[in-house]
Amino acid sequence: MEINAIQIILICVYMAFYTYEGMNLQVMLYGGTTVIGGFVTGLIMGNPTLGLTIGATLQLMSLGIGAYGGASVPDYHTGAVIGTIVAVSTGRDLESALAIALPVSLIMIQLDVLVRMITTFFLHQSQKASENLQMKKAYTWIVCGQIPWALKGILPILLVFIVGVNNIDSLLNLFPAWLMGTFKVAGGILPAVGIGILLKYMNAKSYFEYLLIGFAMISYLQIPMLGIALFGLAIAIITFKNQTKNDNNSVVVTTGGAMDDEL
Amino acid sequence: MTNSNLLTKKDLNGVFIRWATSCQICWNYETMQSGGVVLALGPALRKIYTNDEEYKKVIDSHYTFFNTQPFMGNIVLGAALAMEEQSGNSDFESTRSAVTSIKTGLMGPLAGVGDAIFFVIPFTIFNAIAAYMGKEGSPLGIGIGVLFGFCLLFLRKYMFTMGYKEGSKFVTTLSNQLKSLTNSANILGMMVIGALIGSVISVTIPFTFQQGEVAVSLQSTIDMIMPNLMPALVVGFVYWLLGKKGMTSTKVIVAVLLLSFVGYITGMLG
Repeated sequence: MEINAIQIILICVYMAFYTYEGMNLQVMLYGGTTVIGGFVTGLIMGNPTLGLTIGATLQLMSLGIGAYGGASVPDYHTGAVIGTIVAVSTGRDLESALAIALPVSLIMIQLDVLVRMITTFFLHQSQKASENLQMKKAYTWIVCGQIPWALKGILPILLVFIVGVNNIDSLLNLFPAWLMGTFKVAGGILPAVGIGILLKYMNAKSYFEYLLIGFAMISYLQIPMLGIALFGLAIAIITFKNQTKNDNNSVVVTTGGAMDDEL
Repeated sequence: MTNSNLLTKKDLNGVFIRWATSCQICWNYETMQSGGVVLALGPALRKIYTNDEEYKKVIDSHYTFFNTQPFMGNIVLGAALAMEEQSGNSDFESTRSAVTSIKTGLMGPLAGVGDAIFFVIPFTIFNAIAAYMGKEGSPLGIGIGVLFGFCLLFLRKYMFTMGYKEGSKFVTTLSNQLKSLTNSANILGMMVIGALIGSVISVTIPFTFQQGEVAVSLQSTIDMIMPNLMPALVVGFVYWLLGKKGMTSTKVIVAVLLLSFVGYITGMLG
């Protein structure tokens, strides 16, 4: 099955929107961009369930990985989108999608670095215009700084279209069985990487008991994820109340500390 | 001369909306979010500085390095804007240095806290739920997360208003509560991660060994010790690996691929 032009245009529009929203409005981010990427692409390609599965697997892999402070990190979102395009249009499964998505995600780091360099030019043009008080022009240059970002989203999709899914399909046929088998096993284990990074970031040693509660709840009681999150929310609120109460009692000490800092 | 109420409510809303919709639109390595700052503050500053030469200098001073967590940026820009508005009360140069120092003084500390409170922890919780439900074939989790992100818009507006009204005083008030908030959010995050370990990692040992007449599956023996023992061990291994010097997430992914390869070839992992 080939992809038609309308599908490619829709995916490109989505990619341009995603590069904007993820950096600026940042509302969609909370729904899990990689899951959304897989789901939306799946919808456009005609198999939302497979898209969701691909997006969810890649999302779990990258849970703790975020571009904080302007760092460039593997772009699992683009990986999920391209993996879904290939898997749905060639009738393949999750393993093949991962085999495509992982290298794509890693290559995207380079493109990200390039974009963040190119936008410097747009800002310089804007500053030049502002020196002549041409503020409209200055603002336009800043907004145009979104163009390189949008291209970063669109170009990989166009590349897939140019190369053709059938060629990617033949390429995947060349992959030996052990490679696909490896990806099958890896697909199950890789979420551990995202989880491990999170544990490092969130200082797991000080909160180990809560990790244990969550683990025991799902392993022994089989409570659904949302239910465990609600239990967690309750414990979090109790802790917050207790701590703020203690803070009020020791207000004299806190104020002393703050003044020391100012000196 | 006092010019305390130069900006109308409409001007302030404009600044907030422009920052919310385009804070990182021209993100670049040299000055990072400066484009977003100029775009957000520019029109409001024109109302404050009607003198062309002054306005040029003011705008130029905002084309400088600025980078913080975008939501926290609301507090910084609110505080900076309030100072700009009061510029008529002191001389031009001292306002400039005061605005620059409040921007640079707040952006660093707020970025660290903001990343933890608005990005890392909520992303863990909501993205984990979205991914978990997505794996089960339901897009509902995505909706829950997006709804939360939408609600945060109101909080972002509140932070801008408070930054504008109370300036850096607001940060001091906030910092007392932020520690407890981070702490509680961590608890919630940890419980979700604990549940994730037991639900999204699938690793089994298909290996069986013959004991007399019966074939004993190693996996069922492990399951008897503790359900989800294998996922817990794998996470422990990754966590240990990440603690090694010079280890990056990409290297760990490569290591997991190697482990999967060896596991698949030997038939030990499935």
